[in-house]
Amino acid sequence: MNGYVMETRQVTKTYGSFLALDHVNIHVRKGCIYGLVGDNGAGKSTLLKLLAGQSFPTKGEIEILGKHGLKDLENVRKQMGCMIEQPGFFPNMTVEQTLKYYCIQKGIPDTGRIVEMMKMTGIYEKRKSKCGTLSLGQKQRLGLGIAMLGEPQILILDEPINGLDPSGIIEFRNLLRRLNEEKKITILLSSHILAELQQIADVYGFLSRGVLLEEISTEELRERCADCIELSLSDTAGYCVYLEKAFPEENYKVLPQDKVRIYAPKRQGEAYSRLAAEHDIAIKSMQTLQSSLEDYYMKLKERGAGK
Amino acid sequence: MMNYTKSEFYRVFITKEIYIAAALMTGLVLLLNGALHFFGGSYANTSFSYSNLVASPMAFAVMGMIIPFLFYEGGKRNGNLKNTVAGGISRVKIFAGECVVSLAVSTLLMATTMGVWVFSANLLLEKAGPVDWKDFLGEGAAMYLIAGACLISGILFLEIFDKNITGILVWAALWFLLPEAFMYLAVRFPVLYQPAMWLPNNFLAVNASHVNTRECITAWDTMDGVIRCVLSGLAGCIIFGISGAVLLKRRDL
Repeated sequence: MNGYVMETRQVTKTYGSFLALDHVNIHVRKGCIYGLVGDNGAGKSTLLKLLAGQSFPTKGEIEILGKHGLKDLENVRKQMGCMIEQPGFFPNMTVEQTLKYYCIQKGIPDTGRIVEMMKMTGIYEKRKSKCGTLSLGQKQRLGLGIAMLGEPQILILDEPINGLDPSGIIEFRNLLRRLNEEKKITILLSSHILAELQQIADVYGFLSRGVLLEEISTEELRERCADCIELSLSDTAGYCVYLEKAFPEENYKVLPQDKVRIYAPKRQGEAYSRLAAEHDIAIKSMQTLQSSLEDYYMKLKERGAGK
Repeated sequence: MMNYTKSEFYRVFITKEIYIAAALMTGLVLLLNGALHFFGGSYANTSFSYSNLVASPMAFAVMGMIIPFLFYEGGKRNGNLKNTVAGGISRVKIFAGECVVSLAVSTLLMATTMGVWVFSANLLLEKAGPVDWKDFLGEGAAMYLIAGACLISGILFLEIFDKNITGILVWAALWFLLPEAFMYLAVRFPVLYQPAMWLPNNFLAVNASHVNTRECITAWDTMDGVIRCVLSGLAGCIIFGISGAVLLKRRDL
């Protein structure tokens, strides 16, 4: 295994003449939270379905935990938990019966695991309710409970916060963080609520029209989203002279209240603070003004469309 | 496969479909025998009661479609198969598990219904006429593999076609219309007669048509008839079983 717990190589999926995924290569490292970003119809669910074994690639190869090929992938999926699109249940079975059903199916002895899952996902109060009567949010919780039953190494979640109320979203986010930090579960999740994804993921994959535009870590994203650096200085005029001399290619603007804003900086922030320090100019404050994940995705998409 | 089959047995026995089916089937039997007892007149005998099923052996085939429909028609709509597949169980194992569970449940329902039938007929009706309980139970044994093939094909078509109604229509065409068409062609082209007579709907219709108040000649009375029942049923089970394994192996959900 090359450090990735999940990898796709040139994976292509077509439905008739429609190209849903076009030579996609994703790389999911062990222990990370991978956020799949994309519009509706970008191919997120298709990709997750392929990884979950619910559909098959037209071309390309999938590797999970070092295994590939139909038989090996089926075996290795026992170490995965998945919730793709709307979770599906038998409407006439209760929450408890549903968990018991999947416990038997996964060969898990019910030594309190069902109760543990119901409590963990916050659905314990509904244990006697029929699945057909659950709200979407409750179904999402039950779906996560089923995915977590077998203590998976990898969790694949497609739009997991759909239907959750605000406090449910916070609980869910904390739960995923806890699972990732304490149980070292690798999580691959998709969401179209990018602000939510930004709070939890450490790696992002950007999909648009079936094409993976980019894979990027949170650190890289932070750097690339650093649209400008704003410095508040004791001597703005002097700093600008030194800035032009030292870094003539930088684009800057002097703002009121002794502030200088450097647009699309070509260096790390410390290069600008060092420049001030070398010329005895005091820095009152320095901040990186970032664009959001949403802005970044939109720019990426525009670039992708322009190609 | 064992775990999937166990989980399906658990589901089947905690949900109410099987109990409703059992209640409906035994209820209808009791209603039939009760009606014969009270209003049957000269037909209030065990032979007439049994002949309703003995003269219609393809009823077993129809039951072979109804049972899987009862348990698996909502599979695609509910989306529960997605969880099973994502849990690492192959489609072939799922198909095999569904066949095993449906077959076991059908056997149980058949045994219960036929048991109630014989018991209530003996209790309520006069023991007379050409059709006796041995013909009745013999039919169950003779039709078992054919019903099994119908059941396996039923599951296959329900899985293959996105709409259940398409699956049911294709199933009905295959088991009833196609043999009729084959038989029609056999009248014009005699070379087709022998192959046509290996199709259950044809050889059962020809041989089981002598079940009435005076005589009881069934397809499974002769060795040739038994061989046809067993071999055609077995061939159906194998053909549809292999077709299911091949066609469903890489099917997208």
